[in-house]
Amino acid sequence: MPTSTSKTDPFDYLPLKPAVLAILVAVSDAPRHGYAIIQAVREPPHGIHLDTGPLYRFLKRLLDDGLVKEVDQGDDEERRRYYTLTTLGARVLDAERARLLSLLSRASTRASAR
Amino acid sequence: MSGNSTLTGRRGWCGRWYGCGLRWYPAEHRRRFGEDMRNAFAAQVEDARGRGIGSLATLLVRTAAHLCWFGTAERVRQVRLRIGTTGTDLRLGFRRCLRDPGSSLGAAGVLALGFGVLATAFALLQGTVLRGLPFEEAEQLVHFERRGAERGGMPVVPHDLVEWRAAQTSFEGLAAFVEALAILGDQDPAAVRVERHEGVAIEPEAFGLLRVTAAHGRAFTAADASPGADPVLLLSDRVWRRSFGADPSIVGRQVIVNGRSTRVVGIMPASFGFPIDEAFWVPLRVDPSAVRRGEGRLDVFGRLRPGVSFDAARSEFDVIAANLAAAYAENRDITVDMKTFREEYIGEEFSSRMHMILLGAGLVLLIAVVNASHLLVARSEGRIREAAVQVALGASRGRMVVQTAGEVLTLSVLGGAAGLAVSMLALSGVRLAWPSLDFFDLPHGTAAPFWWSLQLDNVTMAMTTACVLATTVVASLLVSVRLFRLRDGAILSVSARGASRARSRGAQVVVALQLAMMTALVVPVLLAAASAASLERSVAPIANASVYSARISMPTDPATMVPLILERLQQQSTLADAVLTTAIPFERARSVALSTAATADQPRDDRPSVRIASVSPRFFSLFGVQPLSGRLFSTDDGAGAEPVLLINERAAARHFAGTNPVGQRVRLGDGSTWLTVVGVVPDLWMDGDRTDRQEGVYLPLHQSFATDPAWRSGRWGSVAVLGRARGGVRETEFAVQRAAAVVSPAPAVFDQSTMAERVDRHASRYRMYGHLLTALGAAALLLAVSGIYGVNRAMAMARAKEIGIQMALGASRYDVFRGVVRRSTGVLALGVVGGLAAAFWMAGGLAQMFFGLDVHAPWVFATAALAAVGSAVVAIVLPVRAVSRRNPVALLRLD
Repeated sequence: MPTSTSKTDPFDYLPLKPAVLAILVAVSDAPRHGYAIIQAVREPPHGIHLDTGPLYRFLKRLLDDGLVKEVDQGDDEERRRYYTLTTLGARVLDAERARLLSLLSRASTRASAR
Repeated sequence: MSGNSTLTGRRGWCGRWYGCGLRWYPAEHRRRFGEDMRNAFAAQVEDARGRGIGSLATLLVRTAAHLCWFGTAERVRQVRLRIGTTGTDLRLGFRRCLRDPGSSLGAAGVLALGFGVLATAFALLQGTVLRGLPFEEAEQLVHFERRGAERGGMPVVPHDLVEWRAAQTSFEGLAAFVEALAILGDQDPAAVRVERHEGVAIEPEAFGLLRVTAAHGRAFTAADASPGADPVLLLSDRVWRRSFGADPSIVGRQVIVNGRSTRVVGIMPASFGFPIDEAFWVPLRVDPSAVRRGEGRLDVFGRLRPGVSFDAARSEFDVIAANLAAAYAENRDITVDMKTFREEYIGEEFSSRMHMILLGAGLVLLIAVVNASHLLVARSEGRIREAAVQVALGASRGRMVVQTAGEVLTLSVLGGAAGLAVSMLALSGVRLAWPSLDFFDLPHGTAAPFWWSLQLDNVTMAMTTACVLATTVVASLLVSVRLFRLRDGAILSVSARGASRARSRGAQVVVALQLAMMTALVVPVLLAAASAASLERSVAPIANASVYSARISMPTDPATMVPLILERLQQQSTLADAVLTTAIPFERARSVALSTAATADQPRDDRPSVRIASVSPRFFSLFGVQPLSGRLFSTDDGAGAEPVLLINERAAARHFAGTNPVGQRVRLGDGSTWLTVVGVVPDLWMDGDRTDRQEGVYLPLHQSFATDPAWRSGRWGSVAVLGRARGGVRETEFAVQRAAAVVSPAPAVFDQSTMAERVDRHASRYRMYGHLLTALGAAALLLAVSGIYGVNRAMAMARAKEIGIQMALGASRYDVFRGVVRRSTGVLALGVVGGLAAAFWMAGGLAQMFFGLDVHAPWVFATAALAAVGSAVVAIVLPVRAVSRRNPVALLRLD
């Protein structure tokens, strides 16, 4: 449940910081725990070195904004928490992807014009 | 991931180190993510270890920096969030106050009263006791008295002072001073008004001991007190400003002091008025050869040498006193009484009295806080459901307390600001009244000590602010605790009535106590009002605004000069109907023993005394007074005529009860001349406002030089002139000066005012008592009514359903009111009777505050009881009225 804000328009969250975008992408395909997110965002194309401090600060904000949510993974032996995208999070990710595509498309148009 | 390694894993030292670092995060963050963060970090460590020690070291350094940075950031964020939430809750509380302005103003008014009383009491304590004495190392200053075995405290005599100085080693020095009066004028009579001032003659070394120097010019030197030295004078800052327009060139100029040309050598600082609040200082030379051993009176003080204790000095003076007692018969059984300046000029008794006032004021604030919280609870009872819903939605008790605190803080700040205004008013009242308030132990009309400062200084303001905050905390908790109980009842669907009924006995006690307090204070208010009216009636004949009065300093040979002055006064046109008298009405006339033919043989001490005044012929007609019997004085009652006198009504009633005094003969003092009573006149106030000391007689001025013992002994310092002024004060003053010029080239005319002003100065004391009592009574009324209203509003809310049933069954609103009042009869009776008993006991002690009244008059007590019951009934009925106006069906639906 969103607790710190009531923003529901995905465009209110744009543009996303690279680390936030990487986290959202990391949890978009399947629920991941903290260390799995650290590993996922370190992989190309993100290449972002996130430690636990900044990661959980971002996660807290995303949880409070309702972009990600915790999901129960009963089979985890170490009882780690798993995070996944909410509907709003998915819409924000889509909006950011569209924004980036539009940006890239303009950049490509200008490059080909030169 | 392995949890068994000493380095890695959650229980490895890396994990433990990380766990320690996590403590820097706020608890809420740790609860939410701590476990997960440790798991993730353990995995990171395992991973880095696999890549080598360099990677692990880099991870640890980076993580340490992150722990510091993000832990701090989270903490800051949490504080900001909390402040934001608290701000929202406080704003909510503030809005609640605005939603119900009536009860908000009531509660703020009650708190204003409490804060005002407390701030005033603290300012009194601070300004008179806590500030201490304004001397450098004041604790080293010691005041001396002599003490006789049977005679108690006595002033120091010159011979002893000289012996003490020679023998003592404990003090840097000893200095003496004596009270002095000065009629102060300028060489040029037109330049400065002649005024009478009180000051001291003081030894020059006193200024060094007090560590003060003159602000302009210089203080005295030893040469100023040497025999044959030119007369010199130091002026206080107050007199310099008021009488000389703060002209710095006055230093070095000659002024007239008691008819003698005297040079002003300096102006003392504004903060100096030693010993009490002196207007001037003249040099004192203590000359034992001028008096016999054991005679004379001096005030003496000294400053202890550094390192010498008070007790050591006392021991030394015990020895000195014993040696003097052995050497001289006049010093037998005489000891030296030493006190620190603080003990002498402030005193433990005064200090404890001031602390008691502060304690009383604290109790008033406590009552105010309880009453204000009753009002807040009463108005919050309607929001119990709202509170229950808030709890259901997860609101914590803390947040509800903060909301209440916002409400209380708003009222406290309002009340605090209004309280400071109340206190400023009260302090200005006290400043005006203190010369006439017996409480301060000052002789009537005396200025307060110069170090007193009755104003709202920074310390008082800080104390009031602290009280506002403390009140906010206390009242918030009081209100919150009661609301929690009611709210918990509402959540459990239990009627709040049960809790209210359980409280009702305590509430009835509160009502009874406050009613008693109100009744007890209404009585003195009524007495003060009656006293003012009585005084107004009594002084009407002499409180005449068109009658000018002044005093002229008296020369030697009054028998020749006074008739000359009167003749000159009657020749000029500025002052019509001019008369001379030795005693102005309403001021204290001298007393003399009176004997009639029946009491002539009694010893002098057994003969009753009467007030005596010598007056010129038209004295009585000036005030429109006609004789009650016989006649008034005429010009025929001259020096050579038969000695006569007039007697006033009270004296006639006492000395000639049942007989006509006219034609009877009396003798005054030790004189052998018999005087014939030629008339009886109404009482014209011969001893201030003392109704028990008004018996008096009047002598014709021209005869009195022979018949009044005081003229013969030369004890008159001045004679008073009265008349109808036809011009301004200045013109009249010049006219009187011209007339009096026969006695001195620069005659001293002083103490000028109209009779209305003169009477007003005496009457102001009663007026001030009246204002003070009215303020106290109004405060008690406000407190009591708010307290009774608050308690009854809460009870009315709790009985709302019962009232609904009564009205649904056909009872009218008046039936409901009657029922409520009937239920309160016992409490009302208890409170009123208790209050009347307290007032009866108090009235005896307060008798001197009222003029010419029977302080136990039944009408006063009956009126006070009616007023108290009336106010209480209104405070009881109003909340019930509000409830009874609601639809009975809605009332029946209440839980």
